[in-house]
Amino acid sequence: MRELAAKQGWDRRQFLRTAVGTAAAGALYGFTPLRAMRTPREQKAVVVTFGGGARDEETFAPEGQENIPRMLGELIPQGTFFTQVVNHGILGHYVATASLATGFYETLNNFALTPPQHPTVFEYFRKDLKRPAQDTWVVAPSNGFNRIGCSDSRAYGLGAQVLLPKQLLAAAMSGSGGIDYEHLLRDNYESPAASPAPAVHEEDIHKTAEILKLSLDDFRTHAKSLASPDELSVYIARQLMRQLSPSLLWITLHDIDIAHSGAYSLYIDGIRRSDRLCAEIWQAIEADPEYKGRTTMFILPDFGRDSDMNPGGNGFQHHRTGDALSRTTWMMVLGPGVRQNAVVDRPVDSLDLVPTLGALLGFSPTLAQGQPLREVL
Amino acid sequence: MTPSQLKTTDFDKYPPLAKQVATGNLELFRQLPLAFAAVLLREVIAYDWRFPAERRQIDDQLRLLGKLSPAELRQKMAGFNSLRLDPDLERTGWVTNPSGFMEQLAAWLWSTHQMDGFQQTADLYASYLSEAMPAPEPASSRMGIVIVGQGVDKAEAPLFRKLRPNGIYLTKVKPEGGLEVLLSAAAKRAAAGSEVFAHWYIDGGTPVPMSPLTQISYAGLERPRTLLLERTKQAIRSGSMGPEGLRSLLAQMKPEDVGLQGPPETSVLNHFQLTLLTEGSGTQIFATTFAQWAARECLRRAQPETLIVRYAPRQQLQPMNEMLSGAKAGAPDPQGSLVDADMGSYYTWINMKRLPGAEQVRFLAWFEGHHEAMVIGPGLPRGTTSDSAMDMRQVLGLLA
Repeated sequence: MRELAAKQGWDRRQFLRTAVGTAAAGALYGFTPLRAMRTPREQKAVVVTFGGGARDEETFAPEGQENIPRMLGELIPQGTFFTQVVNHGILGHYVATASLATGFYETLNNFALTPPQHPTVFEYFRKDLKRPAQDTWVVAPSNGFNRIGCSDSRAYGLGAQVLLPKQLLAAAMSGSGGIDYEHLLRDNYESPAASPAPAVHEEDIHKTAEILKLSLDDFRTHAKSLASPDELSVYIARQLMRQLSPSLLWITLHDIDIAHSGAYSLYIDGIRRSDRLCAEIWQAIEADPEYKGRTTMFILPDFGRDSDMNPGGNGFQHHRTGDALSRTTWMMVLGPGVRQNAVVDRPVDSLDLVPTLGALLGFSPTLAQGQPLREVL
Repeated sequence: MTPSQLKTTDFDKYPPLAKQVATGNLELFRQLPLAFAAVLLREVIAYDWRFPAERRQIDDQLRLLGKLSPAELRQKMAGFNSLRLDPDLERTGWVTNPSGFMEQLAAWLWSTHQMDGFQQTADLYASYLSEAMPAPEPASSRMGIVIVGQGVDKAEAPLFRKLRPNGIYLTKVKPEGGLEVLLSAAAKRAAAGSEVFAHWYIDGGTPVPMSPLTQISYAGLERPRTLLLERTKQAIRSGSMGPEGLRSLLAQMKPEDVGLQGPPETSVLNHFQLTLLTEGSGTQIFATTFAQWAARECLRRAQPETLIVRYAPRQQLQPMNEMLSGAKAGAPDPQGSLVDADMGSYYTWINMKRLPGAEQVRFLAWFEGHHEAMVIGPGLPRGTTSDSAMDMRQVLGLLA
């Protein structure tokens, strides 16, 4: 499996070289401007994960490049690209995203409304840096992600506030007839049944609307112009950035996971939408004085999807085999001091994200098991 | 209970043939590690509804393992024996509900980071089986035909890109009468054969009646799909059932629960159709997914000599803004369906190549009503394009 993963990483690197002429960071990162010269308190970070990984064939391989024009043309030239990010944990979206957020391979029930078992990056951030609640947020698509902002660790316990835009929308639209809310709220494509929806009370909606400086009418009107839940998530994330400028913002996109329905064209549509939304998030960062020049953005799928060649799976549809393709994915990092147009070939671990955020923002994720990624620090 | 404690009465609830197989191999089952015994029983418990090819595999496997000495069996089972299992798993009803046990086992293996090791062990065992008991070659060379693009005037993207490196891309096929020619050719192969479930026609829409092919269709399963979705919705609305509970509910359903009734000779096919809907993800709502998954499962389980798959448009995935505006759902999406079907044709070809006799597989994919097709077969050049005009009989002639 390690050989397969390495080969996959190599293929990505070769493609990137031919496509955008990137340089090898292994030889160059030693000349990166010293991150330590910056004051950690100035730093902000935005993490974008794809729940529902995308495979090389549909993204970075030659036949997939047509699906990710914005990443290839706009983002990769501005950042460092890790070709082999290996997830050794459980390949379910909630548990894998929780593992990304804790830096520890969680073993919780993927389909249950339970908090992570280990402290989250949001708790380390708030505790070590003494940050208020409004300085870190999670925007997540699925009911199951409701508890991802904070572990049940007694030593921590103050984490991120979690926004579930679709829940807010459903609550805001309540009373409007003729809308299939079951369909709208169905976002867990891994299972035939969605997790039970957490209750959203009217006062919560109004409180959130107030925080976001958004009238319910505006919210409803804007939502009606959006084609997908991920577009709604990015809209909410941008409101958060405008109104609260959180220093640590985590956005989980999920449209790609429609692949579980087996419709290849819808999976491709999800990839193309995610490509566009990632570029729009970066544009929003660059256009906002609170973020521009001091924000590092991380983009990574939580894991991959099954290979066409694994007889135990059904190709792109699921991520059940645990094969190399389903475990190996990539990560893109953009921001001040991050080498541009660079490729890192060495295998890194999904768990390395939290220690890297810790080194970047100046907190100590003591229970996280990964290592800081020196190439972007 | 551990396998060594098994008794014949433990199989009392098994269907007749399954019970006969299980009790006839009781001594063997008593020597197996728990995880492997449950894997094998999951196959055996549905023996009565298995296709001939599956029954042959189960029989051959049990015969092979039964001939091993205790030391040889221990050696073959070493990987399964070395798994660290949750003691609670022994207390589950793994004999009467091996599928339920397997779900819990999978969760345990994931959570204890043993899944990779389990899969390596399973791969090793599968290699042993394929060497020790090679599957028989089909009576005639396998033929796969996939028809895509119903309802599409013009493809918006190039077709058959993944298949093209493996055969000839035809650009001037005369489409007139093509569907009838292909179905007749498949029916002719079926008429010439004697084995049941060896020649299939799967339609993602409304099928063209074609005897003596084994036939299933998305349209033909409309009532079972509706009943199944209703049951699922009820379970979700009740709030008492999480994903695992729902999965168990689906696994325990019987064909008659969704209106799939018929005389005893329809039992195998009805069970197969039920599993397409209860085990397949998306098969209940998207016609293209149904056709792809049905073809995959048909190949994996029935190992047919002839398979013809015809895709039809699936319903559109309604965009959020349309949903919020109360627009009616269910409009067809022909272009998206063509993309789905194109990928599905590639998967069908891959799955045919996994079966015995792979070198002799004949494969044809056709853009229905249009001039484009792909042919792949022994002796045909790979990665080539032919601009020669030919009708469908001549196309089939390339695969003779």
